Amino acid sequence: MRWMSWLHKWPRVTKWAAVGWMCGVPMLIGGCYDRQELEQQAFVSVLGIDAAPGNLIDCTFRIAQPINPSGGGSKGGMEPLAGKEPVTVRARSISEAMVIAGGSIERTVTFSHLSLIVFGSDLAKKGIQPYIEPLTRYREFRRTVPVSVAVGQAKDVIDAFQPMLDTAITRIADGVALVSQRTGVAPVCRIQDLIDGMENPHEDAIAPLYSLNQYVKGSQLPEKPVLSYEAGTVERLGGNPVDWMGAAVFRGDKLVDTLTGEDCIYLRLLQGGVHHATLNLSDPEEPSRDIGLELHKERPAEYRVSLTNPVKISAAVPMDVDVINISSSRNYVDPKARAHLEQELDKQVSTRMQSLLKRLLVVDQTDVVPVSKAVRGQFETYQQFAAFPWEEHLQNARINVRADIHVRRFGVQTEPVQQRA
Amino acid sequence: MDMSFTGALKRLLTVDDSMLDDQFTLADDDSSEPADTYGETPQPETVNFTTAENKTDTSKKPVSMRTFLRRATREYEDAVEKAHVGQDDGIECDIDEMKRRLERFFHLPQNKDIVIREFRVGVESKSPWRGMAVFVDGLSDKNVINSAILEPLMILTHVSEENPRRTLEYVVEKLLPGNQSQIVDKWSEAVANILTGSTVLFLDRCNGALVIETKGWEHRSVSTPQTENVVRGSQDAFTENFRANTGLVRARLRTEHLVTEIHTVGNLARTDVAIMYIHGVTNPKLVREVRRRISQIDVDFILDSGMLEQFIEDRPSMLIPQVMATERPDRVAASLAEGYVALFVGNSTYCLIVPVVLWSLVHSSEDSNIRFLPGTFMRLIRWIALLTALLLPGLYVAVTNYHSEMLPTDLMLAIAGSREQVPFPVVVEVLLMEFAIELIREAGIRIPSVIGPTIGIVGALIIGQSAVQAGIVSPLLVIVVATTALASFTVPNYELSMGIRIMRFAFLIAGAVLGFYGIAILFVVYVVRLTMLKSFGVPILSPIAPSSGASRDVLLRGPLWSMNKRPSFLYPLRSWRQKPMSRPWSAPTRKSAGKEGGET
Amino acid sequence: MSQSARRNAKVPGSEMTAMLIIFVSTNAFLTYPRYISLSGYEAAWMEPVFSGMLTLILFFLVEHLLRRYFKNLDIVEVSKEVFGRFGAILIALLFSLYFLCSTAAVMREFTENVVSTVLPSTPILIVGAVFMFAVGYIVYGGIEGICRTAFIFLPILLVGLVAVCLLTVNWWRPYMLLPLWGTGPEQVLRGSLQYSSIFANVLLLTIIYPHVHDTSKMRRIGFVSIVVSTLLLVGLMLTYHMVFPASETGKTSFALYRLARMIHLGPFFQRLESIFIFLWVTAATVRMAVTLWGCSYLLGKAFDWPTYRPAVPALVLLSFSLGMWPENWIQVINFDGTYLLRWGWIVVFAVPIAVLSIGAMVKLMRGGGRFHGGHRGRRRMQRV
Repeated sequence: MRWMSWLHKWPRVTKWAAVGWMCGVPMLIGGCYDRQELEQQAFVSVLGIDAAPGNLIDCTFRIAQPINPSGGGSKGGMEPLAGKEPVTVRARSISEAMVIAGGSIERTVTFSHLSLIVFGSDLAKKGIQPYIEPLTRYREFRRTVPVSVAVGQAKDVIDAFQPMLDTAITRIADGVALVSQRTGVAPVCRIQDLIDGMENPHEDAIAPLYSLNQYVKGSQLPEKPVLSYEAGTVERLGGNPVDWMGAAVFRGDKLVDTLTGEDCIYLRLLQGGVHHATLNLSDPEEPSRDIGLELHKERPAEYRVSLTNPVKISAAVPMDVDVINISSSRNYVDPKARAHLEQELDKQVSTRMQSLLKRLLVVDQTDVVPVSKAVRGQFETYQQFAAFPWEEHLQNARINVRADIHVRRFGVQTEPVQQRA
Repeated sequence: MDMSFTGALKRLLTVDDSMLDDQFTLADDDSSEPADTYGETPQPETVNFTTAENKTDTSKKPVSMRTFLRRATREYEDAVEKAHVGQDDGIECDIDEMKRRLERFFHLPQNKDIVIREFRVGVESKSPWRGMAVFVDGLSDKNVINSAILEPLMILTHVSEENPRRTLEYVVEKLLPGNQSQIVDKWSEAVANILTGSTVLFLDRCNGALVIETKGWEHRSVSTPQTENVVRGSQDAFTENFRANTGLVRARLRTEHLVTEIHTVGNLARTDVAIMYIHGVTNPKLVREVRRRISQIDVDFILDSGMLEQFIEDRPSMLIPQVMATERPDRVAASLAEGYVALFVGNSTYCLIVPVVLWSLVHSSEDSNIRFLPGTFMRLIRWIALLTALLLPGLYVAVTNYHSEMLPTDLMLAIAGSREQVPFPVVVEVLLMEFAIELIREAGIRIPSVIGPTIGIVGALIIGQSAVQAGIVSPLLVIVVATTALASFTVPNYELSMGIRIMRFAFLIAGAVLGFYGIAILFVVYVVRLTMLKSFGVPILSPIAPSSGASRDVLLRGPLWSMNKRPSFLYPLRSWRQKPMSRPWSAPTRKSAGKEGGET
Repeated sequence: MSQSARRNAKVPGSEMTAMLIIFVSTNAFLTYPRYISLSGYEAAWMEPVFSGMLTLILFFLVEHLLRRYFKNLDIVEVSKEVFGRFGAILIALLFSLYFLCSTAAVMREFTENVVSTVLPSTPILIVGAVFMFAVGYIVYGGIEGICRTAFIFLPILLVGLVAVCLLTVNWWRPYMLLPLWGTGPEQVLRGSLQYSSIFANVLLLTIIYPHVHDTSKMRRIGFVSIVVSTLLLVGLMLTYHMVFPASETGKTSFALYRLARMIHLGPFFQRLESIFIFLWVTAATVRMAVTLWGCSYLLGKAFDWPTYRPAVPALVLLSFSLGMWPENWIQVINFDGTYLLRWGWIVVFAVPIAVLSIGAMVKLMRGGGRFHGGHRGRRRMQRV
C-alpha cells in the first residue's frame, strides 16, 4: 500500500479535509437530485384513456390515498386521509396529461405504482398504438401493468367502480387479476401482452372487458329466460356497479371483437392458462338441466397444424374434471353411464371450442391463442416465418377441436340425492 | 448598612483581578520551589526532576519536523534514563549503602507504600548479621512475610559463627521456606521485583538480594463474562489478575508445548505482556512479528490490552478491529490450538488474539459447542444481523426517497400516510432516531447501576410512544431503527459492532445522496479497502479472499468431525488437527469426512 | 508493506476464474444482448455458444504457446523479444488503447443505464465521477485487489443473473425460441464471430499469465471461466428471448434491466429492478477495473516504468472524459457496436495469437533455447 504514503506526507488535517471534500462535494452540488419524499408524490393507481374529439385523449387518474396506519385519535382506523374523486385531463398524450395534471394536483404525479390501465372501447377500436408509446418508453410504466378495455368510456367505469370489500384501491387490480385467473371469465392482459400482440408476427392479444352494469342501479331484474355472460348485461342486483367479464379481442392494436365470459373460459382452456375453472354444461340426458364441472389443470392444449392448402388445425384439449353438480339427479357412476357422460360432454365442449376458434381465427382473423406457436417450429428462419401469410391461410382453414374430458370423481358424494318414491 | 453599601459600590468601581489568579499552576513558575523538595528533610537525590528541565522546548523558533522529532526523542530518552539512574549497578555489600540506595529509588521516607523491615538474623555469635526485608504494603501477603521470612530468619535460625556460611545460597538452601525464591544481583531486578509484590531480602555482606515470592494483593475472583455471554459453554472470564488469567488458559490447554513468554512494556512503569502460543503449531514467523511489534513499543505506561492493541495493530484508521479482544479463556484456548497467538496485558480483563480475520469476529465461542446445524443457523443469523445493522437505515432512506416503486403499494401508502404529519425529510428523521438510540446505548453503560432501570422506561417512552404521537417520526421508522439497534447488538465483537455503528452513518448518507447507487458504490469501495487490509500479515478477508482451502468454519460452520485442518492462512506448522477420518466407527460420517479430507 | 509489494503479485486460481467470469458476464448487461439479438433473432442464444467454443480453442492454443515457449512472460515481453523495444511499445499501445476505449465505453454505457433507470435527474457527470472514483480505487489495489474483489462479488453476480432468469418464469414462452435458426445459420455464425470479442479471455491471458499463482492450473482456469460465463450468457439470452418476442429484443440497449422489470410474482415480488443495481455496480466496477488495470499495466511495461500506479488517476480521467465525449446515447451504442464489438476480435484474438506464433516461430528457428532468462530477473522487479 505504498500509494497511501503520499497521503501520509500531507499534514493530517489536509488529508481529512480532502476526504471530507471528496465526500461532501457530491452531496452539495450533486446530491439529492432525484430525492423525492413519499409525501411529495401523488401515486396514480388507475389510469383511464378515452378518445376525445380531434385526436385528443381524456386521461383519467385515480390517485391512491395515503393511509394513516396509526389511527391516532379522531381519524378512524384505515380511512384514507382525503377524498377519492378521479381526475380527468384532456391532452394529446399521457405524458402531456401528466404535465397538465401538475397544474391542479399539489404533488408530483407518478405512475410507478400504477395498478391498472383502462382503455375506452372507442379508442380501442381506433387503435391504441399512438397512446401506448409512452407506456413502453417512459420508465415509470412497466410492462407488467394490467390493461383492460371499458365498454363505453373508461372514465365512467373508473368513476363508478365501488369495490365490494377492498378499502385499498391498489389491491383491487391484483384481486381482479387473481379472481379472473382462477375462474377464467376474464383474461389477464398486461402491457407486455398487448405489445407482443402488436409486434410478434401471427399473434394477437385479448384484454378483459369492464362495463357498467345496467341492472345494478335498478330494483329488479328483467323477466326473460336467458342468461348473459356479457359485461354490462349480467343479471345481478347490488354490489359493484362495474362488471369485469369477457374479453376484448385485438387485431394488432385495434379492438375487433368481444367475447362473453363463458367463451372466455373456453378460450382460456384453449390457451392452457386456466388452473381452476368451473364449467356448467347441459346434461346429456336432460338438456334443460345443467351439470357443474370443476376443472383441474392437466396438460395445456396441444395443437397440430399442417401447412397444406387449406391449412389444417387440430387441437387436443385434455381436461380433468370433478363433477360438482348434476341438477337432473341422474346417476352417472356406472362405468357405462360415465363413459357416455364423458363422450357427451366432450362433444359439447368440442363444439363450443371449435366454433369459438373458427370465430376468432376465420372471422376475426386474430390468433389470440396463439395457434401460430405450433407453426413456428416448422420454419427454419424468422424471415420465412414472418413472411408466411398465416392470416390469409386462416380464412379457409379447417379447424378441428377435440376435447378429452376425464371425470375423475363425483364430488364428496357419489350418488345423487333421491326423493322418496 | 451604609458601610456595606459603600463597600459594594467600591467593589463595583475598583478592578480586582485577584479572582483570576490561579491558586495553583503546573506551569513553570520562578517563585515555586523545586518539585522534589519536601518539608524539612531534603533528601540527597541524584535524580532531579525539575519541570524546567523536562518540559519541551518552548522557544518559538521554528524548527524542521525532523529536528523536532529528533529533539523530542532525545529529551524523552534522557528523561527515561534519569528515572532509572543507578539501577544498572550491582548490589553493594554494605547494608547501609543498600538502604541509602533504596531510599533514593523509592523516594523514602515520603513514599509510605514501601516498607523496609530491618532485622537481625538469628546468629549465635556476637557479630550481628543485619538484614532487611523490603516489600510494598498492599501488594504483598503479610502472613507469608511473617511466617515464611521473618519468623524463620529471626527466631528459628541459629547460625554459628562461620563466615563462609553467611551467603544467600546458604539462606535459600537452609533457612528460608518460601516456595519461590531467586537470587538477583542487580538493583534494577530488585526494584522491579519489589514493585510486583515480591519481598526482597537484603543481607549484610552479601552482594545480592533474595527475591521471595509473596504476591498477594486484593483482586476480584474469577466470575462470569460481562460482554461475551453464551448459553452452552464455560462461564468463567478473565479477571484483573495477570497470572490467574494465564492460568485459566493453561488449565484448559494442558500441553507442555504451550509457551508463555513474558515481556515488559513501559519505561515509567513496567507492565507485563505475555505472549502465549503453542510451540510446534503456531508459525514462528508470526510469533517473531508479535515479539517485534511489542518490543518496539516505547512508551511510559500501558495500562490495558485496549491500549496495547492500538500500539500493535496494522491500520489504526480502519473501523474494523485488527486484533480480537476476548474475555473468555475457552476462546483463547481454542484459538491457541488453531495456531493463533494470544497476548495478555498486565491487569487487563481482556486477552488479545492475533491475527484476526473478519469472519472470526462474527463467530462466538459457543458455535463450536453447538451441533453444526444450529451452529450454522446462528452464524447465518449473525451475518444477516451484521448486514442489517450496517445497511438497513441507508436502504430505508434510499427506498423511500429514490425507489418508492419497490415497496408493495399498501406499505408505501402506509409509510406515506404516517409521514403526512412528520415535518422532516426521512434522512433527518432517521438521524434523529439513530441519535436517540445511541444516547440510550451510551447512557445504558454510563448510568449508575442504582438508577439503571429508569433508562429502559425513559428510552422506551421517548422512542416508542411519544415521538410517534408527537408526529416527529413515523411509526414504521421506529421499527426500522429498533431492528437496526437490535441487529447491531447481535454482532458478538464489541469493537466490530462499534465500527458498524459508525459505518452505518456513511451508508445512510450515501443512500440519502444517491440511493441504491450510492450504497452500492460505497459498498464496493469498502470491500476493496477490506481486501487490502491485513492483520499481522494475514489478509483480513482470508480465507475467502484470497481464497485458500480451509475448513468450512468461515461464514457457516461445518461439522466438527469434518473440519480436519487448521486455518491455512495462519501457515501453522501442523496443518492437520485431526485425522481425515475422525469418526471411523460411523459409516455415514466416515464417507463424508473422507470426501472432505480429500478436498482440502 | 513495501517488502511484500516488491514481489510480482500472485493470484490464486479461484480468484482469477472469478475475475474472468465477471469480466465476460458483464456483457450481459451492456449492449451485447442487443447486438446478438439483432443479428440472430431467435437463435441469439447460439452466438455465445459458438463464440465460447471458439474462445476455448484459441485459449488453449495461446496457453500452449505461452507455456511451451514463453514461460512467465506477458505479451509485451514476448513482443519485446520478437519485434524489439519499438515493436513492443506499439503493441502495448494498441492494447492499452483498446482497453482505454473499452473502459470509456463501458463507463458511459453503465452510467447511461443508471441515469435512465434509477437516477433520471442526476447529472451524468456526477454519476460517472462517483463511479470512476470507485474504479480508480480498485485499480490501485492492483491485480490482487481486483481479483479478490471479483471473488467476493462473484456470488452476487451469479445469484443475481440466475435470479433474473428464474424470477421471470411466469413470462416464459418457450415457443418463442422457434424458429430454431432465427435469422439463418450463416447469419448466426457470422454474428458469433463478429461479437466474439466479448470473450477477452485470450488477451487477458497473455497479460496476466505471469501473475497466476500456479500456471499449471491455467488451463483449468480458462476452461471453467469460459464455460461458466458462456452458460450465464446463454441462460440469460434464452430467458430474454422466451420473455420478449425476437423482434423486440433488439430494441433495447439494456436487456437485463428490461428483464428485471418484468419480474412480477404476485403483489409483493414485483418492481424489484432497483435491487439489481447492486449487481450492476459490483460487476461493472470489477470489469472496468480490469480493463483500466490492463491499460496502465501495459503502458508501464512498454515504457519500463517502475510502477504503473501514478498513471491510474490520469487514465481514470482520460477514460472518463473519453466516455463523456459522445453527445448522445445512440452514438455510444453505435460506437460500441461498430468498433469495439465488431472489430474487437482483431485486438482480442488476432494480434495476440499472431505475436505469439511469430514469436514461437522465431524461437524455433533460433533453436528454441531459453535465452530470455536473463531478462526475467530485471522485470521481476516491476510491482503489480
